[in-house]
Amino acid sequence: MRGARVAVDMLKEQRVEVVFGHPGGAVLPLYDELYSSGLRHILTRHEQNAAHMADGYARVLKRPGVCIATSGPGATNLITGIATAYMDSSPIVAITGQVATSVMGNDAFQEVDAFGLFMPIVKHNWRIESAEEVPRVFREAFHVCTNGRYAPVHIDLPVDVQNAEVPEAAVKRAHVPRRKAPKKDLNRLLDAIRFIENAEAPVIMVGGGARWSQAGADILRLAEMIQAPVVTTLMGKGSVAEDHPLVLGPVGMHGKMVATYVLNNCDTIVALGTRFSDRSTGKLSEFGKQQRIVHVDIDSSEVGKNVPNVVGLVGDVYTVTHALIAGLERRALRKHNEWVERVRGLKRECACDFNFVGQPILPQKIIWELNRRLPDDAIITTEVGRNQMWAEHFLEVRGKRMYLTSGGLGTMGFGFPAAIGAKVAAPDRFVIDIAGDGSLQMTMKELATARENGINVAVIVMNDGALGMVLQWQRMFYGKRYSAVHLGKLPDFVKIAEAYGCEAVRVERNSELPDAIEQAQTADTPFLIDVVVDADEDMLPIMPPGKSAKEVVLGPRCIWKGGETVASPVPARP
Amino acid sequence: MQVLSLLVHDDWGVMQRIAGVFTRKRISIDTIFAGPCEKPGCARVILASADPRFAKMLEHVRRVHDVIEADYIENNAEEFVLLRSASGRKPLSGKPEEVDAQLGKEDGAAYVRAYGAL
Repeated sequence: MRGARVAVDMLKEQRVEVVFGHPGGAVLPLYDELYSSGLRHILTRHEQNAAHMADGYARVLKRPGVCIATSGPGATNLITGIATAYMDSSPIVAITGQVATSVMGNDAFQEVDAFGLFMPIVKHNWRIESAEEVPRVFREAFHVCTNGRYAPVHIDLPVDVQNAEVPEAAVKRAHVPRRKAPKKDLNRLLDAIRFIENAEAPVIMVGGGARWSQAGADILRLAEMIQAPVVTTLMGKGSVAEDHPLVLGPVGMHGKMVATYVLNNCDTIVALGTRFSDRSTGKLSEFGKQQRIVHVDIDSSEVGKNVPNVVGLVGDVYTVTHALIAGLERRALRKHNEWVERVRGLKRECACDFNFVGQPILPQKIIWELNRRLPDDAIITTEVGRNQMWAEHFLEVRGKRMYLTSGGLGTMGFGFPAAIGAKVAAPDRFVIDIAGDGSLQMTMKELATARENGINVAVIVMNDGALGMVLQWQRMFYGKRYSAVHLGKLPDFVKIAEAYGCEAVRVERNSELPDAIEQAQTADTPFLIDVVVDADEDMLPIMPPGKSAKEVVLGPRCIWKGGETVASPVPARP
Repeated sequence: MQVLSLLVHDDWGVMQRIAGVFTRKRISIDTIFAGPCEKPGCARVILASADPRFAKMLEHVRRVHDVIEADYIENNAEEFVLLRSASGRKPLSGKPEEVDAQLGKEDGAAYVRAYGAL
């Protein structure tokens, strides 16, 4: 069997059902084998979106998405998508074609050093030099990307290797992983338990790791046990059901005031699967000075990376949470009613009614309507910018809802292809992309992919005719010098959607929103809602970049009075 | 000066991966010493750096998929110097202090220096 055939067989062996990709000269043998393989191939209009779709697919199913591109420009186009997945620890197997080994290094047509280019944005990558290695590398790739911390991997597959014969013995050889599973390190479990036990005011901070290990229910059990409020980072949003009374919502730059306040005024932080991104913590040198921190992460290099002097536990969130529960179960835990009462009061202070009526429509209103009208198993993706932050701040991810967003890399244009990937993974669920007009224009060509393949996703565009977040920053931090930020009235998104054979409506009045959202859920095609929103409405509160949680700028409608700063009973950490 | 000893799979790009870890963290590697070793298909890489943050890079290096073992070694570090002076080429090796002292005497000679250890 030739290399390409073995590659396709290996995908099947790994239970792959769908691949996303875009063909080209250097992957033709592989596409020739895909033709009769029975694998579902989704042809994208740009390779970057193949990676985003594989990413969205992986985030829903928690197993690797596969994307394929050709050599040269195909490989470079994939890079944004793979880097997005890398920052958010999403498992993808990216396969790129490569020029024949005989001309490699000669600047052959469509040659680029994909092996070198992908290296910093994948967990590992391989350049297959002989057909004999195809089975081993493919098996290894799938093993690596879901063993330990999830991450994308990359295989560079030269065209002559795809055509060369693979010895039968190589296919039959059992796969022995080259690297052992990463070690768990729970040596400091007792310290962690002691910290939690002695805490007067504990908080659980949940990051993206909790979502990948699907530990939401277990975290809530731990929270109930130790009576700790739960705050989430952007990536952790949705890993714990947000209608639970102990869950305060998102922290960080655009988080809820109560969550940010409680995180910065507690005495013990139990951080589960988060890497303390600057967007969640604010100024790092000010963060966590007054707190004892238990840091749980599957990746040992994350412990102590951004926040030093923590009690580190290395392991996946699910396992470590259960270890903590088991350790705490037999102890007589103190009741800290005072803290619980205080948090409850603060939460009421932050529970604003954001059903704002305005003309043009206010973005909060859109989220308010979505909150009410989306089913409890809807998958919500977002683009990047103000749309993402409004969704983060106001959307309630309850029940089986999922919230997919590009948190680490902040890739504009991620949401729409990710929604398509998510819909492929979960065809029975309603998938909607909360988009901005700037972001959507980066990837809206995939309307064609969605329409052609019958992938009926919905997009709701918060159309403010500008790059909203940049506009806001220029207004707030650069003296209203609006530089290259207005997009104007073009394009007409309704006509764009119609040109791709999709249904669409424009919404300019609050009263039209409910109808439009209903229509999106029953449409027979992908559906686009173009909502004209108020560009002057700023996404507030904001913790300005490089500032600490004490310097948050509140919005004019914010009802938060501000909790008083209480001196922590714990001595400051060095 | 910290010395880091690595056992790695001798595959394409392994040096690039290791160097990439330090480049990203803005740590300059002062000397690199690498070559095949007693295990077939493997190689040893010795890195040394005076950057204070170099000492905290162990977990980051171990994360590289091709790295089998990584540890700091200090006590038995050897210094190797190849120098070219007016009197010709001369290799030096031994304890870092001794070699450095000898090197100091060779005023203006061109040299290349590396730290190695097992």
